[in-house]
Amino acid sequence: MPDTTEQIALLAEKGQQAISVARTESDLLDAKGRYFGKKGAISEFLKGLPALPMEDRKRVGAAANEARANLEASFRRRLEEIREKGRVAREGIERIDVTLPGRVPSFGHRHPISQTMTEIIAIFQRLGFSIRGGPEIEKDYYNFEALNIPKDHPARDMQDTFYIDWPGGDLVLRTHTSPIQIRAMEAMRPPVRVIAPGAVYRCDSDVTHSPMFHQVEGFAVDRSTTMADLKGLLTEFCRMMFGEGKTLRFRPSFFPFTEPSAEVDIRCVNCSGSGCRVCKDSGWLEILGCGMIDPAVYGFVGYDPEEYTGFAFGMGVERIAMLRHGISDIRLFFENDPRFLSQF
Amino acid sequence: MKVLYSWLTEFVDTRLSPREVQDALTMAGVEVSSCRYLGEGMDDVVVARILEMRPHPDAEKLSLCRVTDGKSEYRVVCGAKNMKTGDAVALARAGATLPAGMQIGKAKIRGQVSEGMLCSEQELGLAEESPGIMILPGDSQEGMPLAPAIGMADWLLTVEITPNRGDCLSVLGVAREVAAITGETVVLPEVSFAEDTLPAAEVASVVVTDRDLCPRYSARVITDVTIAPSPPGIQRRLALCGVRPINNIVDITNYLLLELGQPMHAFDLDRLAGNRIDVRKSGTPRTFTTLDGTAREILPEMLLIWDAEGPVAVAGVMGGQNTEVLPETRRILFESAHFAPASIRSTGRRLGLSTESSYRFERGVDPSGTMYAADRALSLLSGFADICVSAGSFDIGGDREYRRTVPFRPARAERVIGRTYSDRECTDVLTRLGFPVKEGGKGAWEVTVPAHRFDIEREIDLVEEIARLSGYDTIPTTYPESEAPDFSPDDRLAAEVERASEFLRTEGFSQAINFSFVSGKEWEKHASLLGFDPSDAMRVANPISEDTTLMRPHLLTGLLHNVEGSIRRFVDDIRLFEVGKAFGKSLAEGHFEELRIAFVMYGRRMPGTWSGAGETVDFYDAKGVAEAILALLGGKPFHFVPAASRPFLEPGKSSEIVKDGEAIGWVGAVCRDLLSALEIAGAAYYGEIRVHKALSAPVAVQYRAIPRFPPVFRDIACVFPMSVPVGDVLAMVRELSPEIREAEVFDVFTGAKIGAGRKSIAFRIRIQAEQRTLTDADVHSIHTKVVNLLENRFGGTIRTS
Repeated sequence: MPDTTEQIALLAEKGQQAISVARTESDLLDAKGRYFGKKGAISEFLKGLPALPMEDRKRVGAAANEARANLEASFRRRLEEIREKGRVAREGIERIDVTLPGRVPSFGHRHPISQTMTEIIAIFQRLGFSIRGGPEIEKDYYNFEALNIPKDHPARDMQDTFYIDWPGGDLVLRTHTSPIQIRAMEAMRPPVRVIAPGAVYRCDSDVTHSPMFHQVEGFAVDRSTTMADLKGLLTEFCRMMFGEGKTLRFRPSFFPFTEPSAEVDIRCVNCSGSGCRVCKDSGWLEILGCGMIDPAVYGFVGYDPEEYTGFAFGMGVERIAMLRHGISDIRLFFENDPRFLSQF
Repeated sequence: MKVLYSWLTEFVDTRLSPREVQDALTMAGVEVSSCRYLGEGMDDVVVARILEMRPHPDAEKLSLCRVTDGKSEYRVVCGAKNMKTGDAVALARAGATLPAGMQIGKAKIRGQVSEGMLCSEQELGLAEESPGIMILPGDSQEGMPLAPAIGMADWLLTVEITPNRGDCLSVLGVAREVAAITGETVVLPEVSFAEDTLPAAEVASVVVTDRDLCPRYSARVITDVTIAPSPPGIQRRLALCGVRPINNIVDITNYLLLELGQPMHAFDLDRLAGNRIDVRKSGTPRTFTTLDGTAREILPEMLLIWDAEGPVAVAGVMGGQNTEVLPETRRILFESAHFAPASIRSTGRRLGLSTESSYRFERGVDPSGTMYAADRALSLLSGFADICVSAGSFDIGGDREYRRTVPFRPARAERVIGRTYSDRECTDVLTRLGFPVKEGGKGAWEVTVPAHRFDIEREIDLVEEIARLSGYDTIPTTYPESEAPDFSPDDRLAAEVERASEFLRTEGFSQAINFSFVSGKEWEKHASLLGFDPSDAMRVANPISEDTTLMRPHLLTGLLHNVEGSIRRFVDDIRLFEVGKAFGKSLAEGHFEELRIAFVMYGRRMPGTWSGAGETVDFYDAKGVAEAILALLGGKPFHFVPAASRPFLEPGKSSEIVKDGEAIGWVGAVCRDLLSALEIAGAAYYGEIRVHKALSAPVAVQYRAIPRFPPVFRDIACVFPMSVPVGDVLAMVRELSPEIREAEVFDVFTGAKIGAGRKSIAFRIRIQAEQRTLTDADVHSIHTKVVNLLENRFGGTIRTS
């Protein structure tokens, strides 16, 4: 038998040679297969090991393992070299311009009125109110009569009404969301807690008035609902809508369907009360109207005013959106100019 | 309404400053929207007298004036010509800043020193324009600050009166409010004038035929007066309150209207036929010329004032031309009456006429104050004019009780407001208001309400008075206790719509809100294209403009106008949606309104990206969006039916979306003729969903076991005649066998290779069984069924590669 260690050295040298000439990953794997893989020459050589005398076995085995370990290390080095070369080559060929803009999903924009309205509704839903809608073409009865606004009453002048060309002439475009109070109370017995959002119409058009605009109405009736409750609820609403620390004031006012009635003012969001153009130097901004539902209204829906009390409130969505976003011309909301919508 | 602070303090000697009055009234419900000091900017302007005038040596149009303020002399260069030596004028000394912002300094004008400026009304902010400098009354005191010298050291309050508070439409009314807030006392001026020996009843006669429409009619007669201008003080007050001074008689009626809220009318007694007044309805339709020269159509039920021959005034609204006071008028009948509010309002509204008088009458004029107002007018008039007043007066209804009693329980106030009001607190407020209280047993009171408070008829009205005058700021804030309400169907609707809206937003759609009314003119012009007979649309009877006459029958035109506007603003990749109502007439309910979600797509499919940049949106983009919205709304099962029933969509590129045999929406290319009519170039795609029709009752999803056995995929390409609806093919393929889990189209091809009038459709079919692995024979059998369907049912030819 030739000198076994020399044979191993010879195989190892051939193996190293094959590794160093390998140009690709498959050349390299091929070399591994031939010399030091599971069925490679060194493994084959080691199959003859049991035939060797005991004293040689240990020595030859150790030499073979060392040779295989060296080859393995060379293999890994060479593999890394080949891969690195490949990456460098690919970078040259496949390189893309990563500074080109990505394909951003192009989101649209919710209308600011819709956003504000959704937010108002969400607050009242959290405070235990449920939504109720109603028709925009409304009967005179629901829009006026049942809200304690009889014909030939000056309170009708508070709202310039659009009439619908209709036999009998008793259809109007609702001037407020308050008719929903009547419709809801006709359909439900107390306790009721309703929020009623929607489009309303008045015959008026300038930078702060639009012939169509949006309101959110709310009302609650139960056995012991009080004006103090109304104050508490609206204080909570304003805190959630306008943030902490916004001072409120309740100022007596008049609405035909509530008594006592109040306007709610918040400290001017622009000047915080020192007086500016936005608040017309008053330091206050009127944001909603409210009051205790007038007993006359209960008469129309068959509630006993001695048994039940309740409150109602209503606010203009455009007004609140204008204050929040610093918009001074209401007409912008209805032009749907992409340069306007895309800001929200 | 404008109220002068000086005038107010003639009725209530209040300790409150003008600003405090503003705040106090506002917080009591009588909103004072502004409080303006009239002498603003006049601080450094004084009364001066011209001692000498001579021409400027180097300027023809200028003169040099030597003036004195009583202490010092000043040299002033002046450009005006309307003054003369000895005149009292307004001198702004160096250092003054005038209301218009002009700063006065010592200056040399064309070489001559000027130590101030002689001011014009315009420069002082007193007039829009003025021909020369302001010349003050000759007896003005030199050196006196200008503001008090011309009665401008005063404040003008602008008061916003709500419709229920007609009693506050006067200086007296506002004074009563101040008194009710502060506890101070309202003092009515004493009236006195000399009466002639000749009784009024011998000069004229007054009857009221329609007493229900005219509960009280007071009148006084003047048998001699010379028509002349009013004194400056009266004129100034009128002018500052927005009323044009005319002559002493007309001015005094206006003065009383502002002061006491009592509209008065002065008839030329010599032109009253028979010297007689009758108050009665027209009875028949007639034409009557009011003093503004307009011929008015009078209806039978309108209340008129008559003389012996015919009407002389529309009661409470406007006098007639035939009896108005003229420069030569000598004898006057002063009317001071109370007319029923509803009648005046109805008349004014039908005549389209609102006057200071009708405005007050329809809100309620104090019926107990008519006689005092007439006497106050004569008392003031006698102070500056030579008048002869007939003895006695006419006063029909003067003996009636106009006050009313209203029951009140202090406990009720507590129940409504949620705060305890002590009996003392209630009595205190009611006393300050001048409402006498009779405390009954068991907390049931009787409150007497004076006639001027038309708004107080019920207990709740008194509760409001107690609450507002005790201050809303004293009401605590509590939180309403109540059971939580149910989740309503409208809560669900709002949530579904919100979900669809958010989906659209993430798909690149922006939300538009258009008016619900559209231009009837446009709809008539394009009626055939818009697919809606304008006579079936709901119309606004009193539109604000031509563009808002018709309630939109669908949402398309608004969105198309938005597209057009957007292109005009150089934004031409457009995705917009709108949630809103459509309106129209309907057979069943007369009219309908229906919530819709509509969307429009125009321009590139993927705007803002640099690859595939040229691809524009097409029908299938719009259809896909419609399908996704419907899926979100739970609209399944629905299908798309080719239809030419919507004229606003292209006939070959539009589809009805049908569910249970009913159209729940439509989608398609907008009709080209319509686009060109609206000047939109290129193609736009539109979809509209009827929300309520699309919504399904929510059903909990029932879980099906995830298939454990492997699927087999088969691709089948087939050539069909162009007319075959692939949607139908897919639907039938899916129905062929329960093992066909999915069938989809993955390629569509047309062209010369296929032949004209034909299309090649490639389907991929997923075949899978729930309980076992399919054998080759199973798959083959299903494949054969599909091929047979394609060939035999739809005339397809299978392509082999």
